[in-house]
Amino acid sequence: MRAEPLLQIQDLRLELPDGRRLLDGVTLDVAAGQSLGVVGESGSGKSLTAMSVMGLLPRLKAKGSIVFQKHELLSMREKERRKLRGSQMAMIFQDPMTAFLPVRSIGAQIDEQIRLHQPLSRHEARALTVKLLERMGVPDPEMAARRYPHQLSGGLRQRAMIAMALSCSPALLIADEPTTALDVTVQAQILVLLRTLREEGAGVMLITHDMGVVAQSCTHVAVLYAGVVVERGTVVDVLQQPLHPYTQALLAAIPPLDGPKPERLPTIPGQPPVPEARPSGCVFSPRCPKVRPDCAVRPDMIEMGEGRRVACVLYGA
Amino acid sequence: MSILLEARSVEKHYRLGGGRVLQAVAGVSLQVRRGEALALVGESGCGKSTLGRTLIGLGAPTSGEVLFDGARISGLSDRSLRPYRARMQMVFQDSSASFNPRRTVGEALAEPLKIHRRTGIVERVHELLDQVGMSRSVLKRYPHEFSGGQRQRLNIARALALGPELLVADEPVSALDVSVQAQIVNLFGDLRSQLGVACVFISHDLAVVRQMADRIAVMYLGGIVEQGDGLAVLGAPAHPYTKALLDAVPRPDRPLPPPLAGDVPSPVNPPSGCRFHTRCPIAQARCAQERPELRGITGGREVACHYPLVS
Amino acid sequence: MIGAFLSRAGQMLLVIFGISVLVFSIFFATPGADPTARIAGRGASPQVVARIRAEYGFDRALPIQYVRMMEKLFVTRDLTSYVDHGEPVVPEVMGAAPVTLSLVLWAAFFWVGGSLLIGVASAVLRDSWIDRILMVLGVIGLSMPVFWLGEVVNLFTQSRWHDTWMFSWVPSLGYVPFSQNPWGWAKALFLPSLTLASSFIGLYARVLRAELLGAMGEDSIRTARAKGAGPVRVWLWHGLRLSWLSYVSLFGLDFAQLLGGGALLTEVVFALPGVGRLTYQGLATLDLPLIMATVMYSAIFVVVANALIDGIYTLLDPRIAGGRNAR
Repeated sequence: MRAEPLLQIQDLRLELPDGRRLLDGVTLDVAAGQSLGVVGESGSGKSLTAMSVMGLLPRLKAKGSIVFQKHELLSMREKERRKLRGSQMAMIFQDPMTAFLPVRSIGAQIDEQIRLHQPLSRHEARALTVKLLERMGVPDPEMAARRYPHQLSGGLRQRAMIAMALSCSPALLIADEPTTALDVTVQAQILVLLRTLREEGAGVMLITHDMGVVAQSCTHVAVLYAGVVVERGTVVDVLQQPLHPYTQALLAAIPPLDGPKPERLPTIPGQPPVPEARPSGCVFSPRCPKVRPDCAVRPDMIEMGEGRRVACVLYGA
Repeated sequence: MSILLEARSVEKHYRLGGGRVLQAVAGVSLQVRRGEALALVGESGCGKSTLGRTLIGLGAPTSGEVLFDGARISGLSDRSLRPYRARMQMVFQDSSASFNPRRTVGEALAEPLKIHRRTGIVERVHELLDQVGMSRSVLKRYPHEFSGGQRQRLNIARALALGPELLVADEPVSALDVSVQAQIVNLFGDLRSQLGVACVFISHDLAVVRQMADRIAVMYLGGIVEQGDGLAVLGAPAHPYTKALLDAVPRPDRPLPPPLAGDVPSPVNPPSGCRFHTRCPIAQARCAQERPELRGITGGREVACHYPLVS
Repeated sequence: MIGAFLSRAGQMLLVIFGISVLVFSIFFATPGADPTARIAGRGASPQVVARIRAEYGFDRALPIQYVRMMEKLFVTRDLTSYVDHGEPVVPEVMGAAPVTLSLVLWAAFFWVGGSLLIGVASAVLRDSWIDRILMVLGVIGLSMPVFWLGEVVNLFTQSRWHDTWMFSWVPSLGYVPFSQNPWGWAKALFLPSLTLASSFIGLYARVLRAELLGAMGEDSIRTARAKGAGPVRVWLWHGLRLSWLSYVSLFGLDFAQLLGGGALLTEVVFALPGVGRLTYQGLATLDLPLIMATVMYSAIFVVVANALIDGIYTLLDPRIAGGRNAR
């Protein structure tokens, strides 16, 4: 049985006004109660994918299709999309220090989001804010609401950020590197929190570069390289049996935390391509150890079983 | 192997306004032997970067002393420190900020050689590029033309220019992507085996540290809580904090154990007794009163805990 | 809190003391110049000169002269201008202050309003032709000398087109006190303050545009949009809130400087009897007591305004604790 997708992105391409393509074929979906990890290195377009779903890139031209709750977002009017933002879909950003307005209290900023979407009085909104902060495990939530961002620790700021994102009970929560700016012990706290949220039924899209984070808090994963999704599947499948040579190399490059210490870490030679020099064939072919002549044509996504897809000629018929 | 660098009860305090004092480093003693790689690990605010800078003579310790090759270097004037500067170098995390954007790579690499009046500069620069795996064609280019990984290679080349015996690297790979990070980690390994340079790595990433260092020292709120052979410490942590830190790293193979509660306390107002007792899952009454000293346990390791997990 | 306030007040007093010593030494302790003759004016009788010498203590040591001067300025307030037929200068400055205050308030109203409008508009429409035209207009306003613009305005509204429907409402040059006739007060100040504001609108709009565009690139603005806030809210509520800081500090300094007599040229051109014009008169006739009084008045204003701005800064940006160092 397969859950009805909450969000479905089909062949999303994103162009700069000068014609450079930042995303060149992103296809993925998120169902309610699922958590999709979008993994990739810097410049792979994982944050851009998230921002396009939110509609926060007005200056870029998007082609393809993004369907959210059965509505096509790319043809939707800005006014309609704005109603979705913050209420039906919400976003958590990497650095809660800069993501909050530094000059207003945390509480005021959460109140604002609540009152943008719900007809509540200031007083009622604040009561809800305090309740949300409490649910996120912020000690003394009433006091915390009156604090300014710089007066809270990184972990508490990120909790407040999540409280704000959840204030209107969104169906989809997008988290862009939510723990990268945090220390490991605090990161663990936030990951546990995110996992609880998904278990409560929200669809989560988690953008990260850390395979460990994906393993801990996601059910599914999509691997992005140079603006293209190269592999998708459940976390268990992809992490234990990566199919795409890029996913394999990426996993191998992580230094192990137990077992014997390798003499050298396996590396990927070269650098990821910049958008204007993206190969017309398989985007990974210039760095791929298994490159073949037929890599010169961009491979389609090949279905490799239930929800498992890979874009590589090695698995062609 | 002889001892190259030694810290004896180093403390570093910063005066804040209103009579408050921030204890960044609170009594650290450690040794680095020739050719050895030591890693300082801990979360933000544990004092690892401050300690690193103090070790290399950037800022004098409030008390205690630092010895390099048997000679005391802490508290020396800039002038008397200069001969040591060539023998120890620092590599920073942000490779883009440590290059002058208006100077070519060639100029940047030659600069330390010129300052120290070395001869054969051109040959030496070429040799450095070979060592860090960059081609000679990069000399005429500017820092912004390189990717983060390439810039970090150049950064390391510059630090190696004067042939130092010690490199202190502050989060040298944490700004890099995993695949590039692996390249730089390997590069440090190669340099150590080729040049025999001793390294102090400062990092928050246990997996990276395990790969790069022989010994690790885990820091919490300005003090070392545990040190010893890297594989041994991470294989079976003796201090509850080391264990918590290790458990908190998200891994593919097992679910996260319940994380430590709360945040790191402020170094302005550190807890009494063992500084970790406020978050420690196995703390006893004694831990709040008595500060545990580092003491030896099996395998040449040391731990500062009244109730260590390994004895 | 109280400690910070007291130390701030102490600093202010110290600065004012420093300025007064400096000004005093420039005008009265310059070697080779006899202040007595200056104060007495040209062709004063020997009796007057002798009286002045005794009164100001010019026959005694410099510190005593300084104390006498300050006493006359701040305590007895009977510093007298002999050039101007024995007019006491302190009341004269106090009488001129409301005129300057009215002029500068009106001008500030125009330049804040105008620059907000232009700055926000050109930031929102950045790189469009409207933005470019607005910025060029700003530079033109900035580069036109106030006295010249004032004269041109006067030429058209007072003589050339005064009888047409457009400018027949313009009153003749001079000032009408608010207490006497509020409508007349507003009419009399409209053109002078607009002229004065013209040079500030362009600069302030430019600063605001740059700050606003910088702020719009901040993460927190992205958050605001992700919350579902509309463009008006994002620009005006979040964007402006972030770009206020340099605007406010710039405003504080300019406002204080104008109140302290910086509107001199405007006041002279439009025949407004404000502090600036008083300074101008003092300088023209080398009226030392008058100069002393206006300069001290101006210094006090700038120092007090600076302290106020720092206070406002702390209110606007909670990250600045104590309000001592503004960014």
